[in-house]
Amino acid sequence: MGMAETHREAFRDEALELLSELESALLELEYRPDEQELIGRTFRAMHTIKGSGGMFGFTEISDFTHEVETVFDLVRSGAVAVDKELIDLTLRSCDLIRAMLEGDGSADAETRRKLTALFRDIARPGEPASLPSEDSAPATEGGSAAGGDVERVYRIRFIPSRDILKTGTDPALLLDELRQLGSCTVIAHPERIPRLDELEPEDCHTFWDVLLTTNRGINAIRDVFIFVEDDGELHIDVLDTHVSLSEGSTGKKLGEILVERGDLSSEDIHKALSFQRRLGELLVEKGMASPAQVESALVEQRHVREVQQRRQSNEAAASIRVSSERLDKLVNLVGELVTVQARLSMTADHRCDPQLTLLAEEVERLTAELRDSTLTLRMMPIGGCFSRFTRLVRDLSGELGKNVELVTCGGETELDKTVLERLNDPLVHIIRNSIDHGIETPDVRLAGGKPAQGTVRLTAEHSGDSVTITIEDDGAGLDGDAIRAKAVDRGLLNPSAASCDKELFSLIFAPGFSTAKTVTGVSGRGVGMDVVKRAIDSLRGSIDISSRRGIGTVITIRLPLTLAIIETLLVKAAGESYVMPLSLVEECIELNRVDAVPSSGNRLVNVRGGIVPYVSLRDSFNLGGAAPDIEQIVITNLSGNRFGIVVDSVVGEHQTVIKTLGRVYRNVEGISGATILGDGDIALILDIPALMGGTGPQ
Amino acid sequence: MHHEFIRDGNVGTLRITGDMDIESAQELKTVLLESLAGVDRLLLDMTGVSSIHLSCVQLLCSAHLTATGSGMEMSLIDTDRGPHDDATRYGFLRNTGCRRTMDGQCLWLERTTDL
Repeated sequence: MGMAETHREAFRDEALELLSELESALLELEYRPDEQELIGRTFRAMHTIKGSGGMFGFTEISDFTHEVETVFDLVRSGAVAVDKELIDLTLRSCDLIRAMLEGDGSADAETRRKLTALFRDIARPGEPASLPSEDSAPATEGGSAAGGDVERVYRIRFIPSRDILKTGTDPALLLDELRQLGSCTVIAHPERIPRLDELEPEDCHTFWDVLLTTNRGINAIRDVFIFVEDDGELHIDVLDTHVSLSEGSTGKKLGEILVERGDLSSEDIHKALSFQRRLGELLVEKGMASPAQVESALVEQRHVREVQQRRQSNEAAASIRVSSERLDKLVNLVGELVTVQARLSMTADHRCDPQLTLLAEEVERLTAELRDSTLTLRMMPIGGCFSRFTRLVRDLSGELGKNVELVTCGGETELDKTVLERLNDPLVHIIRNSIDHGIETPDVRLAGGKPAQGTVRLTAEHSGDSVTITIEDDGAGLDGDAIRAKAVDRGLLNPSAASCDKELFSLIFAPGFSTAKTVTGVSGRGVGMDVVKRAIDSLRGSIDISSRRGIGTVITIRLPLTLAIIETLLVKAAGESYVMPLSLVEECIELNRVDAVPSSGNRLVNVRGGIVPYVSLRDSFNLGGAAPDIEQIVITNLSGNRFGIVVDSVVGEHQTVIKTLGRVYRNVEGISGATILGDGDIALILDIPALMGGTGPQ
Repeated sequence: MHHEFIRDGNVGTLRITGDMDIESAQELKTVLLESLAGVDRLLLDMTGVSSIHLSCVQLLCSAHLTATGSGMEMSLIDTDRGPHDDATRYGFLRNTGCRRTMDGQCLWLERTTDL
């Protein structure tokens, strides 16, 4: 990939992130339309997409975003009000920009032209909205300097009208406003103040140079002087941009600043330099510049240097963007290292060499640290995933004529990037179901004594080495009778069988199971919850559902923090090695034939008075040979359900680098992956939920 | 704004208190002109000043320029207080003295600087 393409890729990534930020700001703005901070966030995101888009050759995106930005500039100034229509339109624009970034076919020119026309109509109401032609020239405004986001140093020379004080304007207030825009150094020039007898007390004899470092853009600066600019003089120059400040320059020299300001010519500087004395001292002594001019220039020099130093230190500490492919490669390498380290430890044990053992222990310690640090790199806050659902809820509510609020909590909870990516679709299904089947229409809710607005609450929290995500709604709850009837109808349930709510509700995860009387565009086809279950299972997670009729439904998903390397328990059965996630293991006990409770076809064991079902791995996988006299039973606990797995022996804890199975073995139930042991052997990773469900091969 | 002028030989002390707003500017000019007349050294006591408007900052600068131009001295008493806050707000605080004044000093001098 060439440098240009690398930059374009970086822009795409950044723009997609900005779109998420933009969308979340817009959705908040809908509820708080007057909040300047939100308007600013929206504007800045648009402005950055536009500016960067133009810079990296995405002219169509840049042009289109310019139209949206123009409207939000008017919103910023109060000329245009935020309403639902504007939010709708802007959200559609986000979709369009996203499609344009992804090269999606939905980003057709016609949609772009229509949206452009609508935005132009808002910006210039009454004027005929000229539709841009497809090959219209880029209309990016020349001012990357005109807008915000990028931090720049501005030199502002403000020479007010002599009468400014008589109009009641106090320059101190203007200077204070500038100070609010960023880091500011103000230098008053008293050179024009006359002697006392000649001085008109109410005239302004002072002018100012101001050095301002801000990311608010030149327009924000001009806004400060909007009422006084016409009667005085205002010069705003960009002294240095972020780029030039970051290139290792040490800032402009004093002479350069004086020449740039027009205070001196280059010749004056060269002449002065020939005296080989300190320039500022020399200029003052020779009467070529006043101390105020020199001081002002020195202040500017110091200001720029300070900004530069601050940026350099900030940049040194700032984050860097690394492609996920590189991270994946790093994780794979660490996985290999963990495997080799296990071999080293095993070799050291066998050789009984204290020095080698010491070395192996040291390598083990370092590898563990490296593993943890590397896995941390892949962790991302779940909040990014959550924020996308706000839009989903908004759109679905509108579509279904419901009033639903999404409340999120624990957005800072981190999960492995891969887990997060694969979690999105299951969550979408669940939220769709909640809104479509769970939350009632406002009139039904009001009739039932509930507030008109329903709530879907999305919560994430750490729980040991896993993360628990709950999706809770205050809707109608599941209809146990309807589920039972449907289950009996489909032969999933014996009509005479008694089953608790938990068992009953778990039936909705069966393929094609739906109690919906009508199929909507949103849900009701019975495709969804089984897909959700499979997706969560594939993430080595579990899903649980509880519901109360008329009160609401809570779906709890428990997920492992990472999918790359996990702590497991290594066991043996018929000479083969198997591992199971340590987080699920509760205890290991010897299987005493006396404790085994005879039951009609089911295997149950009495563990300190509690009956626990179990399966024999040897039987489940049709492993040959006779079982040893004393077997071990590993008691696991999955969402509160205890379940035993009988093995020949328990070896101990093992750090497992998860390897996915090839396509041929991918659908083998009861096995979710494999790992390489220290001696080079392969151990299969047991899929406890599948074994528990009795779906393992018999 | 209130003021009081005390003369001790060739040294005069002008004590100003209250708000030095634009409405006081004309009065301040008169007071300063009168205070400077007939003394070799004028001390400004502004410790009782609560705020100072740009018009008055300019007047003080001008008085300083005028005084030093006539071979007189003019300085602020207890300069770390009040007036300096407003002078700073207006950007008058200086590292170097004023070239236009004969003594090369400045009422709003913060510290000496290395050019």
